[in-house]
Amino acid sequence: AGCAASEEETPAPDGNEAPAEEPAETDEDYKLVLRLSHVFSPDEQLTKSMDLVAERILEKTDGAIEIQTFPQAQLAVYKDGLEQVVRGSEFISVEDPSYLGDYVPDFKALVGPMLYSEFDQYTQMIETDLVQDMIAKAEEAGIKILALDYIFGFRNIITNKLIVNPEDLKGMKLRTPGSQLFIDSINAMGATATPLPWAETLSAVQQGVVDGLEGSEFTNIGTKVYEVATNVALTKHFLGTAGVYLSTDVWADIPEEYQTIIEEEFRYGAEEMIQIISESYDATKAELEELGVEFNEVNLEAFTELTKPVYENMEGVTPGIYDLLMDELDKME
Amino acid sequence: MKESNLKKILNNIEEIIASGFIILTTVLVVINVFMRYFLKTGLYWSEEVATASFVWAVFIGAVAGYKKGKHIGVDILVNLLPASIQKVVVIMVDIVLILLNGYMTYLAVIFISLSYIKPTPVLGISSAYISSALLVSFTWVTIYSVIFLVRDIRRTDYSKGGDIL
Amino acid sequence: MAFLPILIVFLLYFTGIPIAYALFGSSLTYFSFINDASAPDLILQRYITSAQNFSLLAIPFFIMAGSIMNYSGISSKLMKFAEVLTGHMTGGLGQVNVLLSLLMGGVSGSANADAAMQSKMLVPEMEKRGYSRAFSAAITAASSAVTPVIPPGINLIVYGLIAQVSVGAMFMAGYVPGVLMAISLMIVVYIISKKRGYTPTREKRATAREIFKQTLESIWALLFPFGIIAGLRIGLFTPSEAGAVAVLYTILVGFFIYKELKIEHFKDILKDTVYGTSSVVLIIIAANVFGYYMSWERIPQMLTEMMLGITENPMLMLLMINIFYLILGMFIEGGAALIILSPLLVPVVTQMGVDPIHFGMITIVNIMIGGITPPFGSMMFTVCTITNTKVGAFMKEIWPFILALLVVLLIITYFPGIVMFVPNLVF
Ligand code: NA
Ligand code: NA
Repeated sequence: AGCAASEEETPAPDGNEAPAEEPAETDEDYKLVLRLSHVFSPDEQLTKSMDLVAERILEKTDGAIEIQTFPQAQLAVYKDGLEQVVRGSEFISVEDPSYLGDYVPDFKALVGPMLYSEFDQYTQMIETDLVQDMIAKAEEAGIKILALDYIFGFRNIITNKLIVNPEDLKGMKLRTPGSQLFIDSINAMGATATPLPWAETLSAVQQGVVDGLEGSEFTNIGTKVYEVATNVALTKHFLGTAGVYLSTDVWADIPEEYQTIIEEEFRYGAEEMIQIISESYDATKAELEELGVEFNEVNLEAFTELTKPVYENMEGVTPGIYDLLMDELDKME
Repeated sequence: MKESNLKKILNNIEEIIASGFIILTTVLVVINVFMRYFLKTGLYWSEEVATASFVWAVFIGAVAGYKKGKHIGVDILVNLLPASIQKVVVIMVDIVLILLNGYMTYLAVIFISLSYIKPTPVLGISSAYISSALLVSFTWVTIYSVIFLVRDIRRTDYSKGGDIL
Repeated sequence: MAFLPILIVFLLYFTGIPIAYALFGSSLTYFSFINDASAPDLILQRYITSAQNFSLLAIPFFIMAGSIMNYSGISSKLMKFAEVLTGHMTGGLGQVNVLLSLLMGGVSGSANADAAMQSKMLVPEMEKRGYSRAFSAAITAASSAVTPVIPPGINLIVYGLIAQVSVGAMFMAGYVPGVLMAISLMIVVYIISKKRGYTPTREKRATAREIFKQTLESIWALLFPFGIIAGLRIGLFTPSEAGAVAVLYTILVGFFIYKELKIEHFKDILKDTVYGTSSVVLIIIAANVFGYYMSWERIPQMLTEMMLGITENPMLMLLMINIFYLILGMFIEGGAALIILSPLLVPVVTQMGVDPIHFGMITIVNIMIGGITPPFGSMMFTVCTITNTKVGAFMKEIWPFILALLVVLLIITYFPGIVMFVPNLVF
């Protein structure tokens, strides 16, 4: 389920590792198997994109770099996946950038609540010096970031009640993933965050244990959320995106020509996925409307104002990180 | 002679600790249900703490089960063997278990020393609060494995492998 | 080398090493000596992640509730009710055992929790009345396989998510197969009891008046499953939380209504809970760790590909998948098989025109059978551990029940209408 995809969050001191070594010479017999793990289900675009990227890399490296993909949390995911990377496993972790926050706290702010309203803003943001510095810090912590922008849509609030203003959320219990960032943000927006396992979420909404949930339109249609809740308030409170992470030690041992291919293919795969997601969004939305789902715009300013303190309470982030991010966003306009 | 209370507690210390964690788990879940339903609010951290407490209950409970020989295994083949060979098998099994439990203890030390900086998802406290359950459990079980080996070497009636059902 | 850990498990298994340790040992051998893509201590991630799972809490909760029910007089009253309904049949208590699992299906949805609870509650009672312990254990394990098929089973939810089908439709699809399984088990109980002279517990069928009277007498016990179903329906709690509320309920009824429960009983209740929970969950963790090695080596995928090479006929494929699941289910934990294989098999069968809901029921019934089939099976282990039954004796008694459930499996495999009837009616 895509909904389970993008969660989690929390601070930690940086785990510094030895700097990367010189790339090795290309060898005729060079062969490396990397296991790539994520939580998305086979039908979701991210799974398809990862499979495509893996296939292209295998082809372009003449079989030297074999990336085996493991969807649906068959192998380590979330914090465990990042830990595999940091510990130098031959392993690629594909997770929400907030998980990087355990090693470089500012990443939590990068994907914080109520920041972006367009995909472009985020793709431009990750090119800024501000984020490039964060990427460099991640590298010092042993994490080579191959991409940050496998975007799968905005997350909105899904209930059976019209939600326009924060007051409408008062007393409403919304299911969130078990993640500090999500809990803090949903509480700040005026609702009562109720962490529940995804497996129990739909029946919980149906029976009224909770009053709603939050997720993207792709999750909505893919897991048939519309059967239990039919109002989508377009809060866009989180951008759903996944990054691709690999150990710097493993990376350093890969011959340079293959490094180039890997970097290019993961970058191209992200561009391609954003394209596909953008193109299919309207059709998905229309399909949901046909199934009885109603969409409404919300008072974005009010929600934005309420979620600002979330950034101040993030542990370990650069002071004033919210303003720094907002400055970059202002520059884009 | 009547067993002193202290001795009684020490004899059942694993059961007592594990029971404490089970009670904590249950109480947390019940409180959260009622707070959510009647007060329209909940303990956002209750799932994380309840499942962490459950992990402790399971791994400390596993020590108790190991001590009392309640873990299930298959003894059909071993029972078919002549008594003298049975003794060899039982002692070899004891040695394998010492090696295995000792190795898991060693891995737990490495794992926790490198992963304690990883915070938990909701409360953001060190994940070592949970993963230490492994270290405590494996260390404790290793000690019992050694005790069982000594016992099985000394024992003359070895037809029934102590920790094997 | 990739398959060596499987051999190691067998080797260790037959030396009599506790099964959890055999699984740990072979998985650790793999990550320490066979594969060096990841540091060996990192496998401990899986020990924690698989244990820190909210759904597993249902196990201690229902073991505890079951144990409290024994001390508080609830179980005897609930059993009397099942007895009024089925006691006149041959093998009365065996029939009660099956009926109770069907009733509990609407409550716990966890086969292991049901198996644990009835091992405590019914097996001693059955032994007292002359049933052999192994037979009592076998029927308890076999009937526990019915529980997760009746909604709100966790596996129904998990499958719904994996296969991207409506969880509600999965729920609806469970009723008919669940009832069929119960009926088939009751027939086996009847035949065996007749042969062995396990007598009915009452001389003739109860009258409507008697049933009404017993319903009133057992009302607090009956409210246990129904109260929990009601609690789920009004949104008081989720299926995992239901167990904790059941504990509270049984305590309240035991203290204040039947007044049979005493503080000093809690020493034994907690002891039951600790031992029952830790040994069962330890095996679930070990199976999960072993499953991690298999995923890491892509063993399930290898087997799947091999099968696809053999046939493209849906009827033949379903038969093959059934056999494959049955064999695999003997060795790995059902939940793990469901999670690892469904994403791979669902696209294959839907391509062939099989409804994913239908396939889901086949899969779940199948892995439930796996759970009671030696040499590995989580409900088998649960029941054998708690009732202190030797696996060898259990094996001798379980096979007629497995056979009966296999017949049901074949029926639901080849008559999709039986499964799809209720969901089609509702959705
Ligand atoms: Na039963
Ligand atoms: Na089995």
